[in-house]
Amino acid sequence: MKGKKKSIYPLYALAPALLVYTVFSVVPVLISLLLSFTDWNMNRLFTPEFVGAANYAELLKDPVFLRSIGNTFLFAFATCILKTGVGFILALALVKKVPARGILRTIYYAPCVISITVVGVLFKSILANRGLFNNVLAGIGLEGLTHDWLGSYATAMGSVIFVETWMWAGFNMFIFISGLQAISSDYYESATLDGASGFEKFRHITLPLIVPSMTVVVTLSIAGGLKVFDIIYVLTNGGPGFDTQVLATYTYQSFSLGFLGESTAGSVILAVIVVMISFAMNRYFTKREVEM
Amino acid sequence: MRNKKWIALLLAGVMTLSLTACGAKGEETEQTQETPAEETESENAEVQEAAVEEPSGEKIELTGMVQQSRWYSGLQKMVDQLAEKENIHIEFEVIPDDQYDNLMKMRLNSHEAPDLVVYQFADLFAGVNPEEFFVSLDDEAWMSKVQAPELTEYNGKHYGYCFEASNGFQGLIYNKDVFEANNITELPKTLDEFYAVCDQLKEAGVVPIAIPSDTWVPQIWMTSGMSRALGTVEACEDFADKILTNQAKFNDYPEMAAVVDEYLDLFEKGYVNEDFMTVSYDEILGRLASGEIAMIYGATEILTSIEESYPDANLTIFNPPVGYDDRDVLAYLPTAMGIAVNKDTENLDAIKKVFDLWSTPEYGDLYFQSRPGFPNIEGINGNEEAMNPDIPKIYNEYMSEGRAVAQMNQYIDTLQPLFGNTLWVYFLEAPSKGNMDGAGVMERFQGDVDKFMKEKGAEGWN
Repeated sequence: MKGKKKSIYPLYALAPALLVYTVFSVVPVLISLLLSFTDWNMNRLFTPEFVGAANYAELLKDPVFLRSIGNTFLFAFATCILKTGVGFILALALVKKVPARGILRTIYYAPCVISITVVGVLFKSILANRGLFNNVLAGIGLEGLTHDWLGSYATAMGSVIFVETWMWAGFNMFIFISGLQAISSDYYESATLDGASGFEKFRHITLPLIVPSMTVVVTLSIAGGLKVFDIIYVLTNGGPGFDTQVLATYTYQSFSLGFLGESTAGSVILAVIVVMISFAMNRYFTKREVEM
Repeated sequence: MRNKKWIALLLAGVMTLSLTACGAKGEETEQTQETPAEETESENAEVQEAAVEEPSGEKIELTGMVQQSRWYSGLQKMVDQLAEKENIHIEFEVIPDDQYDNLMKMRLNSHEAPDLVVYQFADLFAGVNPEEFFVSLDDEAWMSKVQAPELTEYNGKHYGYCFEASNGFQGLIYNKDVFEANNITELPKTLDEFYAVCDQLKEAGVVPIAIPSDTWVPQIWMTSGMSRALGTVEACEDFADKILTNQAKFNDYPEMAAVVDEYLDLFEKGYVNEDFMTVSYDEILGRLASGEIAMIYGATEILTSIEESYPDANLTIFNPPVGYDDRDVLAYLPTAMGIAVNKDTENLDAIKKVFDLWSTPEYGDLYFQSRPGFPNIEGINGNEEAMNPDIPKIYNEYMSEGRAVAQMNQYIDTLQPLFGNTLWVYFLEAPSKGNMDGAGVMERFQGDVDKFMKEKGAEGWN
């Protein structure tokens, strides 16, 4: 019987996928790793020389790089918490039979399908000194709160985090909704018969059984947050100054200067951070998953 | 349920129709252009093809790359006319400015560059070695008519076709109506007079000076100022030579820090728009044209561009007085947009024909129709009658008196990759954060220069 099962999916069927994955993922990663230990740059495009860990040492000496690491963590964790929290709340609200549920779900989901460039242009004008947001604040008598949101060091990162949350909370909402819909109503009916309150049902039924969805959402959010590039690039381009610079934008800038070896070393550091944290988070949540 | 089915059917019908319409439009385009117009959906690159009618003769297709900000309407007209009259089609890939340098270098190094590479001359040679990548055009007939051959010269050979002989000079562009409305009839001749004008404007509710968040604009104060502070071409060349060979540091020349400090003073005195960290260059130009802002440091080519966009605005330019330049020197731009020919091209004869045609008034004049300038090829009309009269007046006055130096970026153009990524960012960060004075900015930049030059393996650094 066992042998028959094996013959349905012979190992060589994996070959095309393995080949593509190896050529386009594994090989570039290995080459990047090797090149990060060389002085590869625009002037030595085809003749890089081994320089040991010099690129890594150089990066760790650079205050802008260190700040980029801090900003990357801040962005990743803040957006992960907000996107997960807001997405979950939206899912709890819209999994119920509320009026215009379908329309509301579409509205909340819509931002994540908008091109990032459009989002950048949109929010740059909304958050500009004379933008819509400040005009609204002034219109309702809160002129004292108006601010150059993307130009001030205190608010630029906050604004970027807000926009990222706005974009992706709706996407997470859908993952949570599918998780919530998969929870059998029998559990809730049984709990109701036992006299459980709404909060108790949420605490002891919903939360444990939504953990598989939470694993997916948190892993995607944290990995996406650590790799962030586009939203920073279009909204602040790492500014004001270098205050919203993250690892990916730093690496890009380093590449722009022609420091290809150093830029590759930055990418390797970013990849290691993403893998380690995503793996740890995934493992933590997977352990807490409850079989339904 | 039944209604839903009908709605679904209706939507499907609409979609089918619209797709059919798209297909029909595509076919129509193909019929009229023969060459399918490709337009990638990439946000970073836009491919535009100029082809209108098909004249007789064998069709020739060339490729090129051009920066977004230099995809001038004049060049587009020349490309269009070439397709229409000669059946030579140039497909220019229009690339965002900030990605252009890297793409260009990568493509040239990997021998995947297009036939034509548009760039600022002679800045191009700071980034790539022309002897390795470009075709020398010394033997072309139009070379004898070139007004500024030094633009494309490298080791005695010429590696490009430049449209203009010069990009003019740098100075303060101002709104004449605003000055007149505030009874400012005389242009300031000393720094104190300049500050007095700014104070007067400020009191009248006009923002005296515009600074946008686009870093290439505020840096004009410094690239102009540093050359003016040194005062002569010889002093600038000597300075650049020492800086680039590690014989001197920026802060060995206190003039450099003084230039930055004077620029920072403008912010401290409240002469600059408050939103300089976020407001775009385009928006600033609108404010200047409307009279909300009085002045912006720019260059003659910028003035020409603003006049093109805001024909009703009453603008002109002057060389502002500064505290570090007693001789009243003008900083000019010995640069111009041009085209280099990729050594790997298989269409060299066609390209030579293109340049032959473009060097005639029939084509060359098109370039200057909407952007008056100084043509590089003799016999081409630069449309000077449409040019702001102050431009040639000031230019000729300073040039004839020998009181002109090239902007500093020209002398230290080896460091060009650092400008946009570090130095120009510091010029905005310093007034915004208040964390650096002039010496601080120069010291920080020196660190970048040290790293860059060591990485480059430059002489005197290893």
